[in-house]
Amino acid sequence: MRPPLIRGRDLVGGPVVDLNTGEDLAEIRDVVFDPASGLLTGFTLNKRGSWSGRLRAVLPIDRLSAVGTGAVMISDADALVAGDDGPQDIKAAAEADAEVVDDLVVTESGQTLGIVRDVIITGGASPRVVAFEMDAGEDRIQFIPKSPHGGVSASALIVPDDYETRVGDDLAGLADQLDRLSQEQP
Amino acid sequence: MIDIVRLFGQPAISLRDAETTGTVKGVRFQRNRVSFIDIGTGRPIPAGAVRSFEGDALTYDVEDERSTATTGMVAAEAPVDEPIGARERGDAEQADASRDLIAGERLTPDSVPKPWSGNPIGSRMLSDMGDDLGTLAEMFIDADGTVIEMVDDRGHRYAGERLVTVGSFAVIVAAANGDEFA
Repeated sequence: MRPPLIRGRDLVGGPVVDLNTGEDLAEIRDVVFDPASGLLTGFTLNKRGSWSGRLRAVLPIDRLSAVGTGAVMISDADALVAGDDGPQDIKAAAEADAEVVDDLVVTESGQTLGIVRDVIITGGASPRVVAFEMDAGEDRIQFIPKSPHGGVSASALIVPDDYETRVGDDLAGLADQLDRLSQEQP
Repeated sequence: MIDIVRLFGQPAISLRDAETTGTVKGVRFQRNRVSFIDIGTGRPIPAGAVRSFEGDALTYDVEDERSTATTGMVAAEAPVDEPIGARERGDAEQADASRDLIAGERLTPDSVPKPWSGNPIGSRMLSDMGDDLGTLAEMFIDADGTVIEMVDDRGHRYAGERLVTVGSFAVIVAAANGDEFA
C-alpha cells in the first residue's frame, strides 16, 4: 500500500495520538523542514483544544510512529520532548522560522516555474518531504517533485531542467511522477 | 454475537443476591476484548465475572461486591476507584499530562491517563499509521467479550482482531492493505 501524500498545511492543527491509549496528546503547530538538508526534522506543537497555545515540547521525526491523513501517531507520551531537550536541528529550524513557502521555484537554467505554497509529505512510518505545491500563476496550483540534488535557499528552490515536464496538476498526478522518478533512479 | 450498542442501558443484575446494582454505562477494552463493564457504581465489573449480556440484562457473579474492581482483573489493568464513563474525565487527565509536558517533565505514573471507558460507537477511527478511517458505526462482540467485527460509517468492515485500542479520542485499528481513507 502506497503511503498517502499529505500537504503540510493539512497536518497543521491535526492531532498527535498515542496509539496505545487512543488519546490525543497535542496538536501539530508547524511542520519543521530543514531547507539546508532537505529533510523533515519534526513538528512543533500546540496544546490540544481548549488548552490551545504553544507547547514547549516538540516531536522529533525519529520519535514518531507514523504520519497519516488523520493524525500523527506516537507510541507514548515520552515521544514528546521538551523544547530545550530537542534535537538541535529542529530547534534551529523552528527558531530561524526557515520558511520555504513563498520561495521561487527555479530550474537550473534559470526558468521560473512558480512560487512554493506548501510542502508535500509522504506519510507512513518514514515520513519525508517529497514534493512541493506551487502557484504556477493564473490561479494554477501544481505539484513538483523534490529533486534529490536541487538546493533550497531562503528565497529559491532549484530543480533540474527536466522537472518542468514532471509537474503534476493534482496529488494523483504527482504520485505517478514520483513513481516514475523512483523507477528511473538507480 | 451482539451489537455492542445493545449492551448500553442494560440493567446489571448480581447473581449473588438477584439485585439490580446499576446500568451499563460504558465498557473498557484491552486490545480486542472487553475487559471491564462500567455500571455507574464506581466499581466496574471485570469481564470475567459477566455471566451473560445477550438477553435483556447483564448478569454477573462476583464473590464480594466490594472487590469488583480487582476480582478477575486483567493483570495489565490498574484498579479503578471511581466511575470513568465520561470523556470529559479523560480530557481533564490529559490536561494534567499536557501540563507535565509544558513543564518539560516526564510523565509520572500518577499523571498517565487511566484507560478510557465509555461507548465507542460514533468515535473517530484511525489506523495505527494515522490514517483517517471515518467513524465507528457498529461493533459486534461475542459471548466472551471478544470483538468480532467493526463497521465504519461508510459500511467498510474490519476484523475484530485488528482492534488496537479504544481511547477518548479514537478507536485505533491495525492498518491493512485495501483500507480506504475517509
